[in-house]
Amino acid sequence: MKIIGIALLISLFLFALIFGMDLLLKFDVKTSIAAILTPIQIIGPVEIGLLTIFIFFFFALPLFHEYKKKKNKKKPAE
Amino acid sequence: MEKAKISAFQLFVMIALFEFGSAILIPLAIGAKQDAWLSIVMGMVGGFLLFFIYYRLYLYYPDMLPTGYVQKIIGRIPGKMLAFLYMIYFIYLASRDLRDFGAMLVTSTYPDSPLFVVNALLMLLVIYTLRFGIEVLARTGELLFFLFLLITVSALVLISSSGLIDFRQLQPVLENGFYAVFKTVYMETLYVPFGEAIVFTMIFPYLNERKKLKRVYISAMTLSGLSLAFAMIINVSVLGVDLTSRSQFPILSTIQMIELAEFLERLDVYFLLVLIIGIFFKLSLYFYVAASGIADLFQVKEPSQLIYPMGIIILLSSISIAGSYAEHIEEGLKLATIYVQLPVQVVIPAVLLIIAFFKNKKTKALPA
Repeated sequence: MKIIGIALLISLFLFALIFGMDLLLKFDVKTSIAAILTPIQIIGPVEIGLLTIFIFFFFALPLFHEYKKKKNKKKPAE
Repeated sequence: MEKAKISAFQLFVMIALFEFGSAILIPLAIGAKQDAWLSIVMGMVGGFLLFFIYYRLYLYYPDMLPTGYVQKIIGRIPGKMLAFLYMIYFIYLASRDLRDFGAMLVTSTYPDSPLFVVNALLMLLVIYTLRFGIEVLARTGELLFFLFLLITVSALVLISSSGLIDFRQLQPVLENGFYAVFKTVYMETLYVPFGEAIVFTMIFPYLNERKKLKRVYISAMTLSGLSLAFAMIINVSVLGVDLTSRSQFPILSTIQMIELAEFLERLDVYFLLVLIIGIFFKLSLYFYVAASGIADLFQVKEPSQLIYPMGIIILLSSISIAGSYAEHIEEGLKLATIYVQLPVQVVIPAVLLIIAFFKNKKTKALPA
């Protein structure tokens, strides 16, 4: 969970920076938000499939590590 | 901090490949027109001055990562916040480099391939490499460096022998005065690519021969700085100022013009290898440094666990970073330099050095 939390925190700050750069490029707030989202919204079906797989592993891998760690902790006690 | 050591030669190779990275691809310092090469050389000299700031900070805390010594200098909480912002900055630059790579391949070689897929392929490779740590990355650099040199030298021989170079395109020197050159240095070349070497402050503690650091850094910067200046001389003398400034990737346009013995042509694909090696390396370094810094800040026991999620964030932001390549370049060379690179590469390290100087002076005085 910690890894997912860190990743989400990084995303928040990174996209805030990108948003800030768009504002400096003299876009207004609405256009700046659209500028961040549009490139992702217009991707084709193959890319959406790929993106879905990536995002699935984004959450699944840290959870799997967590599960493995808990399992390893339990073992010596048994 | 990872328990790893790298040799002086490996650091040399890493700095050289990093500096070439994406800088050789873009029309660097073209604001100075035919004096672009001069701006690059002056930017390199400015890069040496910045190095001395980073180096002095490193000498105060030789066994610590900057994420650690920043906390010692300005206090735990502000230090952690500042270090985190630095990591965001490295991730941002990694995203920019990934976008450079994708845009280059889509524009020059794979016009029908989606940018997302091209970027994803490189990102998966980088994720795979970085799971093994800095030592593997350094050894990869050693291997790739010789291939890099071989292709670069052969490209130079081919351009020279095809009779494309016209040095008169570089004249008149300083046509718009010295100020135009200085302005390009201040606005662009000081930060991209020379100031970007601030990323190596996170690598310095891994060096096993510390005494060689200064010599290695300066020689690698000199090699890459002079080579970048030389590449710009070749670009301008082959394409002219107008075409170089209008071309998205002047080095590829230059290589495309090679026609030798009526059969050796379309060599841009051959030269793409050099660009891919450079960008792979630069991206990997930014990514590695950001991951190890984040692991240090948040006390993640296995930093390799951070690699995949961070890779996906870099991939997504490389797509969202700009609507078009022109916007991406404008943002990178005009806005980011002044609003992001100047404070991060120059102002903050200088302030940290001043504080560290006074703090260490006091500490030294205390035992006496």
